[in-house]
Amino acid sequence: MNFSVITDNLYFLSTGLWTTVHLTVFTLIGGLLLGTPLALARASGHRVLRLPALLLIETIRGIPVLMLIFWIYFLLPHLVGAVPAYTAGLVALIVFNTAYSAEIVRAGINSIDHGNVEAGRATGLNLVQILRHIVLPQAFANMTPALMSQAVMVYKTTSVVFVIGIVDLFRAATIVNNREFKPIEIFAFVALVYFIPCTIVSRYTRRIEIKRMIRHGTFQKA
Amino acid sequence: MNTFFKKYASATALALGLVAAALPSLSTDAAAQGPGESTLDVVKERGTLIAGARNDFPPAGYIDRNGEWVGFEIDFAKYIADKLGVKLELIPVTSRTRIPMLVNGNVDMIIAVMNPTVERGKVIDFTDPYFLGGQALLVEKGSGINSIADVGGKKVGTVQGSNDAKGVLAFQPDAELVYFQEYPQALLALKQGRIDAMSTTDLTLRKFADADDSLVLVGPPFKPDPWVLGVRHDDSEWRLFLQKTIMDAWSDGTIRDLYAKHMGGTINFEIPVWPEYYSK
Repeated sequence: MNFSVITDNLYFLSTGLWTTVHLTVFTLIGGLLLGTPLALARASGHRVLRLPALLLIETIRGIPVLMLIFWIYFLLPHLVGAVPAYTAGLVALIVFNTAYSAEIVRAGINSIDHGNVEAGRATGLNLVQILRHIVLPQAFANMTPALMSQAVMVYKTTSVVFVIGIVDLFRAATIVNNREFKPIEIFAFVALVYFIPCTIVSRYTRRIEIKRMIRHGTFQKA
Repeated sequence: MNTFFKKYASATALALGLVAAALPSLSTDAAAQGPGESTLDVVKERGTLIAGARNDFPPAGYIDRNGEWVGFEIDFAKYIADKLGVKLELIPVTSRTRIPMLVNGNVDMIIAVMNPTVERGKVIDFTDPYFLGGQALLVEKGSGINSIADVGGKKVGTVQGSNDAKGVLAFQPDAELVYFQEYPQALLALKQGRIDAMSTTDLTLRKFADADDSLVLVGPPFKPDPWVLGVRHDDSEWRLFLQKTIMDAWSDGTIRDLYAKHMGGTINFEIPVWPEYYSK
């Protein structure tokens, strides 16, 4: 075991980590921005909106993300011309995350008692106002733990973009290993870099959940 | 809740439409090439040569400890850019992504340890070789495998998307192929006895053999392994320019120097040069 291979290649590995980080952040933001309207469509009373949304969400959730990345990588050039691998990878990850975020947002909205909407109407708010000031703020508060678990999942899932040549943390490690042949040291380090932030976020999520349960009086010590 | 969402529906549809319309703006102009226009002109006009290269294939193309692109092919790509008087931009490609990236217009040429095949020729065009490697076998010492004929019924590891699998089968149809993502994985499998041999260009294998006493390179290469540049179909002007640049690099000693620098030792073959052909 010789971990100097990590310090020797730290600069390149950190550029890979940086790619992983902004892929994760953009994927989370994009997924939430697109997932919220998709969730509203999915929960809509209109069949014209609800059925396509349902079909889209179930299709995306039903196919492997690896396949989705390959497919979008080959599909995008036919629609919009040449795109860098990064764009194709990001679009695929956002599409993937949109479907999952939509289900989280829908569950969040469903968790808000319908009485809130009725109360809003009784005070003379219009529907957009009800959504903005009453439903979504409460829904997002309820969704926080689920969204944070999703963030952890996205952070780990970004590693599959290596298949189209994007140099994220995992791909950077592979490239370094192709030159140094120290797979045990290199991938142990990479596992740690994935593991530590994920664990911290998971623990923090658990604390938020417990606090909320205490507030609602439903907390039982395990 | 239902009537609530019914009324909100049109706003939702509008928002989805807006985001969908915004997505195409993420595309690049790398493929902005009119019909009949040569990549040669596009590159000169742009002032940058965009080359698809390997960043995971020492000594041809890889990333050093400072995070910089280095290698035989990287230096040769710089040489080509210098001949054009333009800057060089390198885009990482793999065995699987290099051809789609060329066809889609992400890159102007492929310089990525690529062999010409009839199959690939249906999609892209090639120059003559700028380098000749050879496909060989790497085995454990005392394995009893002394030539490609000996791997009949044995497990041979190769990498997905490369041409090595076909090379093995052409010389020993009874070999059992095992595919890996990367060469180090095949190497690990070989050392753990999960495969009996691995096969790719002798340069890569020699490096593995040098680093590990228990491994040995089998004989001379069983199949020549020409490295060619890849260009798009119907672009003779660009292809012939690259062809001439390859010959220049052979006649002015560049290839020999790069071989000594990156592979070590003296190059033991010649690629014929006929520069007069292009000056007529």
